[in-house]
Amino acid sequence: MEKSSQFLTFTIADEHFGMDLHQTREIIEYAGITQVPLMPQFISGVINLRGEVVPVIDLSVRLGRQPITIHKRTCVIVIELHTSDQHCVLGLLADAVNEVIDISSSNIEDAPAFGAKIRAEFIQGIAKKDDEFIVLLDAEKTLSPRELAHLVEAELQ
Amino acid sequence: MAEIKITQKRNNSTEIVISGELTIYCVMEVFQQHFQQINLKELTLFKLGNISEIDTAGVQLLIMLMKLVKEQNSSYQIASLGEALADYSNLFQLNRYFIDFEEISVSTSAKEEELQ
Amino acid sequence: MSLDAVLQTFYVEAQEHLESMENVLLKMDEGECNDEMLNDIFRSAHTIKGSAGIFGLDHIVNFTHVVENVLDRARDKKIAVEKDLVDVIFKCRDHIQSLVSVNLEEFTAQADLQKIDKDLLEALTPWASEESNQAVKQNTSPTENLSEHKPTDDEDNGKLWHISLRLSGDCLRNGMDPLSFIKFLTSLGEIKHIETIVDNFPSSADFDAETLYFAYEISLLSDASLEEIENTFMFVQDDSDITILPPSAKIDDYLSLIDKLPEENQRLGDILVSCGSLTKHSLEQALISQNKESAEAEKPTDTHKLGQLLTEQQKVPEAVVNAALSKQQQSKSQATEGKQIRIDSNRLDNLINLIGELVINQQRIDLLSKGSKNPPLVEAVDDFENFTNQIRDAALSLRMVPIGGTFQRFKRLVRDTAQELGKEVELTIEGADTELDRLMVEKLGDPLTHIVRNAMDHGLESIEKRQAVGKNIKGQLKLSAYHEASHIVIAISDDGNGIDKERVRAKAIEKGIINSDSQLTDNELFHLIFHPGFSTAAAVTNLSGRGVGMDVVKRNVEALQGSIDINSQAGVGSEFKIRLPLTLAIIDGFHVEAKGTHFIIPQATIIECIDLANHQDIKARHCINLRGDMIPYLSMSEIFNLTPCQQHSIENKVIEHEDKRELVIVQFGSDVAGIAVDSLHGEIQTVVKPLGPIFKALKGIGGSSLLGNGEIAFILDVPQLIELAVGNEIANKVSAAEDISNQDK
Repeated sequence: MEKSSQFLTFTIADEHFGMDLHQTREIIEYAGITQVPLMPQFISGVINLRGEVVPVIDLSVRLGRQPITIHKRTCVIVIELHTSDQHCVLGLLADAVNEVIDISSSNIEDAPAFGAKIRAEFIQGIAKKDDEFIVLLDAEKTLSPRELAHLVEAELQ
Repeated sequence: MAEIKITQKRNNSTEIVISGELTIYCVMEVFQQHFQQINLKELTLFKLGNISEIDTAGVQLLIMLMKLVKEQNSSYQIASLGEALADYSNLFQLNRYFIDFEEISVSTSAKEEELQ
Repeated sequence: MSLDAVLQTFYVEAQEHLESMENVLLKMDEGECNDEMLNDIFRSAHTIKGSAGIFGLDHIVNFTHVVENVLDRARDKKIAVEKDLVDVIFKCRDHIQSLVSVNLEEFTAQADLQKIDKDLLEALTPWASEESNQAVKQNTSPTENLSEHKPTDDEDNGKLWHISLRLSGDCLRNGMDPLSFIKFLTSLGEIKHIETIVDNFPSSADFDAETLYFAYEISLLSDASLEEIENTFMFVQDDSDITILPPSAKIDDYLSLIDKLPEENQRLGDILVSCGSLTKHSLEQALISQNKESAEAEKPTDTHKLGQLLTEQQKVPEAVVNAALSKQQQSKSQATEGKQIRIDSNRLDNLINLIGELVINQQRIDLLSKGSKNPPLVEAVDDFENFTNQIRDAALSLRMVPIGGTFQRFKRLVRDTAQELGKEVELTIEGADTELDRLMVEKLGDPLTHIVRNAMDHGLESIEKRQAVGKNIKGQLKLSAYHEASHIVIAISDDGNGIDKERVRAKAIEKGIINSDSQLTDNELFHLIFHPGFSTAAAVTNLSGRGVGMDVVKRNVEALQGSIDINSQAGVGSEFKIRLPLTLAIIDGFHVEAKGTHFIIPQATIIECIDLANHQDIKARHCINLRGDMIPYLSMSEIFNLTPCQQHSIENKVIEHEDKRELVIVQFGSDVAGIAVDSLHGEIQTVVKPLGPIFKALKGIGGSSLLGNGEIAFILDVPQLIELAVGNEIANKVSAAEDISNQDK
């Protein structure tokens, strides 16, 4: 039987990405951000989400590109990760959020061995929809709190 | 809502007729209105055959009445029981309190000991 | 309550009794022994046995019975309490602890437990009574004589349960009619007998028709499980006293029930007999023996001594005192019961969280009221703040527990470890009253254990060595705690060998942690032992582990937002100091701003605030002259590299800020420094919201907080901030030196 999963798709600088819907908690409008001192660039800062202080990641920087440009339609995708040792809530900056799509596993291709300009382990697979490629990101690898913490540590030394 | 009819008879007895639903919803009112200040004669006759529905609050009220009878040095008889009360009494094995008229001669004295 | 929940209660209470036994035994170990102690320890064993019996935990009953027998003889002065006996009882207590955590099935399956059981029972024979020894030898349960099975099991071998119901008077009012429960019970089985107890009826003058006065004793023939029967009463179990005795319950259990219920014992016994749950004969026998026992038990303590004192001084004749004593003891035992209650810790945490939100909310209201320019409103809100503070403090104090409890546990650890190591150790405890957050107590256990074991294993020398250097053969170990600023400091010190600096250094080089030519201060050297994978133990003992302990200790302490310090002197001893914030939940702080970023400085660290403009800045050295003292200061915006565009608004406007002009003087340890900021915004209580694991490496900031207007402020960790500043300065000097040397080339 074909396994089908739902993905939330969004756009950053004209590139399309997708993430497993189960891990996305909500989408909110960008309404300012508080920068955290001394942080590496991929950490945009923190926001107050109904009383919870949530870190926001600039996915663009995380994926090795230029920092995202904030504009009127910028939004924050709130992700909730349940890894073996922790439960982590994070926000991602995106230029626009598109639809939720159903992709069956047979329509997901492996990431190309090279040339994708994104670290292979971040990519769960590539899907195609309406003639466009959507890079499906593995939230747990891309936003692994442990790895992010290491990067922060490295930056601070 | 239960209907209460109290008649003081000339043969030195008080007749108490309770009909309708004797439940938590009306026990407070019933007790305060009719029984809190009641004066009982030497014998109190309970006619409970027309009680259509009774719950624990209702039964408590009846037990309280029986104690009241004792307080006033009276004795009581149950002239009629009715199905609702009989069912409750059977379930809770309270038969020694609610014995029908036919058996009173045997059980009145035993009952008085029970309520010590 | 499910069976699991009920068993859980048994477990928790058994633990308390076991702990109490241990405390008495520890005192006995030190040579102390009196009637009161013997009574206490006997009662604890007796209670554990009794409760275990109710649950059919025969393995506990059988073993504890023999122990109880020996303790009974001890308090009756039939045997003497010597060190040998104390040692055996210690082991027995430990065994009971193991037994308590397994059920009967598991016990029969575990051969090693059975062996210990057998060995200990044998070890007790010199002190136990003849009958007890006979019973043990014949492998019969000594309790079988006392507690026969109820002689009235039904012919068709059905399961006869006894249910005792003392429901809350409000049941009827709340819509819970016993009629429905009893009806439900009939669906579970057959009600053999139901006794409606009318004893509690008031006089007609006091009769409240809506209050439930009936109580019930029920004998139910049913194949249902305990849980199913209990669930019948699910909705009324709060405020009600419901006891369900399973078919296997013994006479003792019925006696306990009779004891427990408010009505008079004889009457209750009669009721149970009419229910068919007891026979008349067994009831009589049991009541007789129980009365005898209760007469011997419970000698009051303080009141007893007071009475004695009074009589001795001949101020009051003895008879009068005795009469007063017995009366007082009755009321006292009722009074003390109200002094402590158990709370579900989740509920407490929930309460604290809610109060945290209340505090945030209150600040919002405060802000809005100040902007309203409505004096009565402002005043009312100020009062509100006052009460919110009081509630907050009261709630937080609920979370505070004295550290004495944790320290107490170490007495046993030290005793056992000393024995294992063949060393003599004397443990002193200071500041047991010092309070700290309950959450921390739990997390401190492991780090402290490790440090203590380490001190005993590696720090304290062997008896011979100590003698050789002229020290007291008894190693001195001290656990102390005290408050400092808004922290609690816990110190573990020993008068042992001290940390061998050369060995540490050598080991660190060997492990590649430092270079052979690294210059390190003593402090830095000591801290190397916290490095993962570090161990200088020549022989790795199983006590302190393989050196993997120390780095875990440090991490645990840091996870609590604390720090750990080491002081050591060769040949003299070592001291480990753990510093922890008093509570993680809410702090009193001072709100400041630098280049648009908001910070909160913990109130407890602040000495004063001054206006920089009015003080001479000694150029290039970042020092000010404050009433004759030279106080160094750092600039918040420099340390944190803050730039004016810290706040991205949607329009991406640059927000201008005035340059630093306020100085907050803070203290850390015994030092004082200033923090330069742009503006001061006043006192604030805030709920600490941790920043999360991603920011763990960030030094200088220990969490975040929400301001009244919803903005996020960062809570300053002053010691770390200073460390950061110093680190930067050194780094700057180094790079400056390098630049210069590069230029020279």
